[in-house]
Amino acid sequence: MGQVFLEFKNNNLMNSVSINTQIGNLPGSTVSTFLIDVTIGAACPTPLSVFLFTISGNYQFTVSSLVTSMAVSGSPPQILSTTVVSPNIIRVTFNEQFTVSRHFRLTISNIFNPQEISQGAVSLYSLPYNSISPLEVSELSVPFQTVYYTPTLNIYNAEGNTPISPMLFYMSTNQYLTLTILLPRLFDPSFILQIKSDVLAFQKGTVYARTSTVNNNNLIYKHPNSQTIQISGFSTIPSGSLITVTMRAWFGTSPIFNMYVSIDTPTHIASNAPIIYNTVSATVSAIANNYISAFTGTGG
Amino acid sequence: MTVVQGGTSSISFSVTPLFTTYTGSFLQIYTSKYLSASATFNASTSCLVNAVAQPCTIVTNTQYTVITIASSTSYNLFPISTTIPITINQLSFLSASSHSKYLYHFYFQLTVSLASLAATNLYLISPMVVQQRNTITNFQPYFSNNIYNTGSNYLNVIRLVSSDPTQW
Repeated sequence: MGQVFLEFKNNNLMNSVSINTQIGNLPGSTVSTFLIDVTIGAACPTPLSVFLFTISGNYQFTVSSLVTSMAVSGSPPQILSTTVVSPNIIRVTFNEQFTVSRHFRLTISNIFNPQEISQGAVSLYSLPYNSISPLEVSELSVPFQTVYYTPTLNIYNAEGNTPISPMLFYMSTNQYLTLTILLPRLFDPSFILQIKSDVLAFQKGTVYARTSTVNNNNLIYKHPNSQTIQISGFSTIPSGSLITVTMRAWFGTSPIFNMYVSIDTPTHIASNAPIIYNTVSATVSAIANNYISAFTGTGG
Repeated sequence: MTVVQGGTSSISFSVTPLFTTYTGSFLQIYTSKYLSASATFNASTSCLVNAVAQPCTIVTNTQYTVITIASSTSYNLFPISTTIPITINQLSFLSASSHSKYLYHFYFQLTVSLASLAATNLYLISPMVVQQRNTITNFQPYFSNNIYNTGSNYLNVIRLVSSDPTQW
């Protein structure tokens, strides 16, 4: 019966501590430096010592990932070689036979964050040279976490202006409003734009989106329900572009309404984990006093 | 509502205040900047209140247009419980309504007097402004079946022929 790769048979838990937990990463970005403190708990029986790092989820080591060592006490261990075995495994061979209580610091560069909202963890295995059986292991709890990009959102009235009296939002009225979205990152063609409201009921056929930088003449508008709009068919939109969406909605009696903007693939939006997300609110402060009737317009 | 895009148009409506108003009451209509006074607009004659011309102003800035019809300091144009028909002529709509840029919301604000902090009464109308079709003249029907067809099913074709080539 053979051995299982990285099968851990001992109870030795390495005293390693993550120093800079990466919990604020933007999806699709790269972690420039990941720091980890290591204190050896189990001596290595071979003249060369091996560390093997694994990273979970869709986080990946890249071909540019480098491991370097720094001293905490004494001299730093000399790294003989670093090998990216796979996108999730990196192996480091030290030109040193580690002894108990050896304490040093390692850095790993260029760890790629997935294009999604997720969490990942790094595990560290200490092995003898030419062995697949760890001497000790450390599994770090969720040192990696991606967070969504936050676009700048603004709500304007039908005329595209900040509401001022009497150009306000009126209760119990159908009226247009304008929502602008300043993109914090590139809008991929696989993405859709979803706009939801907690109060407003959007009217089909009244939604129109345009961008400040590229033409989008083949947009598809869907209304999964009266309070949700989904727009697809965008081309690539550069970061920093402004998306302007106008729409007609029924304003009820609520004095405030919220708009929730999500941008990502349909799958990520369906799972409520878009990589671009923000919310904005506006007040509905005007109450109409109906003293106008027979409003018409004619030409000539 | 139907207007002439880029030409001269009018809007009409009635005001029936069910609240007390006083001398000096005035009506303001805030709307899109794409509605403005046409070149023929006359502040003395273009606005009719109860079929009588009354002074009015139209001011357009970079954000919106304001139409103001004000009572004189000794008169009330908008008395309570009275239906006052109003027509504003010589207006210019830059374009028909779209769902994005050319949205014509009409925000009415009737201020009951000239007193400071006088009550204002708000109302909103959001019509779709459509282009009034031009009338093409000098047309006559022309019936023909002169499309070549060797079969028995001769097509009946109605041609509309205009004698005025400038209409095409």
